[in-house]
Amino acid sequence: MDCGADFIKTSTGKVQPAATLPVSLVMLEAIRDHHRETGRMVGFKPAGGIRASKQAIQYLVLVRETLGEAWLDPRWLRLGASSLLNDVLMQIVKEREGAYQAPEYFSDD
Amino acid sequence: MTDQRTREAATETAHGSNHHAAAWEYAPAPEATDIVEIAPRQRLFIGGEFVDAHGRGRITSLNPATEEPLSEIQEADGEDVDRAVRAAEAAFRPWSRLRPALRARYVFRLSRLLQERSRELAVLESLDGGKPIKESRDVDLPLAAAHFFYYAGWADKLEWAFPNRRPRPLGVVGQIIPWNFPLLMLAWKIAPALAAGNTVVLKPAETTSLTALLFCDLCRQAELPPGVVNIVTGGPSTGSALVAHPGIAKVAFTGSTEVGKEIQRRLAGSGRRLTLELGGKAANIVFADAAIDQAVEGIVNGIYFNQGHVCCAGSRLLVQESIAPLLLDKLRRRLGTLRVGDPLDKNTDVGAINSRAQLERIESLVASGVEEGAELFQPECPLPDRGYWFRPTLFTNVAQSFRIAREEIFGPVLSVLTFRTPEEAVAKANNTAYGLSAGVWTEKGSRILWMAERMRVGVVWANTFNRFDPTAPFGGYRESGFGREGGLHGLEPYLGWG
Repeated sequence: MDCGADFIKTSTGKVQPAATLPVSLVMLEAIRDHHRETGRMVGFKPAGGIRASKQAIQYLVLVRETLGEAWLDPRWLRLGASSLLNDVLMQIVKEREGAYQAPEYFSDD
Repeated sequence: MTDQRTREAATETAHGSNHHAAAWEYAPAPEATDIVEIAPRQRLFIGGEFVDAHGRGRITSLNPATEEPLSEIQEADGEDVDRAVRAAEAAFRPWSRLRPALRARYVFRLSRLLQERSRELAVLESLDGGKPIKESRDVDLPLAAAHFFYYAGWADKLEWAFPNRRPRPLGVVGQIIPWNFPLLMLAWKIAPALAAGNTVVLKPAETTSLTALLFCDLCRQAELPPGVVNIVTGGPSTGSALVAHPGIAKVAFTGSTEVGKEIQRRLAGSGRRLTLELGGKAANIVFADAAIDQAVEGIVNGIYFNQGHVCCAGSRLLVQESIAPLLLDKLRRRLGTLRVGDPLDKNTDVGAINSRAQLERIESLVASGVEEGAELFQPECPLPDRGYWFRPTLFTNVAQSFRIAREEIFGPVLSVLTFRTPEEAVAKANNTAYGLSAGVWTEKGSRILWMAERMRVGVVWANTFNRFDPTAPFGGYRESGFGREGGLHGLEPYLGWG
């Protein structure tokens, strides 16, 4: 960040364990301190290990509590979680229909 | 100048987060209250039975978060107290002669029942006292059960606990507890007393008697012999009758210094034992080498935990001058994220002030701080329309002579002072009439020990605050009282020798 990074990411997401809440908190606090010192916003991308919508919400809450509302925007926050998408789709359909659908209705990767 | 800038930055952050709040407001997550049934009228618990008081006085117990009445409690008079003490006297012989392992079994049973019925008790505690459910659920109840569990273990090992001293129980113990941790203070009092073989007459605070009365139900469920635990409810006159009763062998009191002194005066020369756990004005000391983000969390926990209704609350923050602007900037930002409101909401950080009287006391002390020239900061959090609420408050530019730096506020109000050298920190920390607790935040173990040696307080927390454990003695120096609760030290005041 001191050298000008615009985004920081937990890892490639291809090794385990990757993104965890404690690690993310430390990184978010570093972003917060950097913003406090320089006024510059840096983006954050937790990657790897976020598979369920519930987990994604935990990360949103962590970002909101540590950095504030301004970071809750695709410009500053990305979840590196390709497997999360299916679960999000499943939850959206459940909200609409009132019942969970079988997983094979969503793409299987 | 720096201070001015950081203050502006902090206000901006606090406003900023509120400005956007609408888009990302969390949904309420209230704990259900149907688990607990509150009878509209409560009675006294004497000799294993719920009985009507002889005294005619009635006190309405309010929910401080809504100002709605929860129940009506009876005010015990001298005759009721006498009846309770007689019941305890009658129970004393068999209880103290019971095989110690059997006595332990009853105390263990109470611990288990507290765990089994913890949700019910936690909800009632939050309804009656206004403390956030996350605290009654995660702190008060587990600690109360742990206290019974710990002292149950000593009941049949007293000879080993005090080798060559031949411990024996004292008789009937009179106990008076405050409103800030109603059930936990009951546990701190009753668990060691029963384990040592005494019988008990306990008076809970008049604003928070309901969990103590529900505890009576647990005593019945545990089949505790009648008269071993008696609960008399009421105000100061009930407490005064209990203290004055000649059948009481020992008095244990937790509450204000003012009342503690009065009790000590009453008991002087009577030969009866006394322990007092009174007020405090703890210093929370942050050195420049401390982990600052952790210290900020510790400071918040130290003073805003349980709305600051904590005798050992870290109400004076001493910060090393070199990091003061940074630390205060972070602290103000953190205050902006505290959620004040419905105690039963699982997301609530700061609940309701316990009573109108206490709210007025906090307000008047805060007004005195502003008047004396301290600078006030409060986050702009929304407060409910009804109930007793007070915003988390931070005072900077505080002199040691200000009332807010000397008197116990017993509310979510932090006074910030600065220091340059460790010697100055010790001098300022000790510059108080109290001496209950202190916190030290530093990377150096040697400095923690150096500070702990020099501060005249009963408890020093190192890089943490407000941590409790049944095995650790807790108690004060000077106007914070005498005698210890917790650990073997807490068992000793309930025993005679030889």
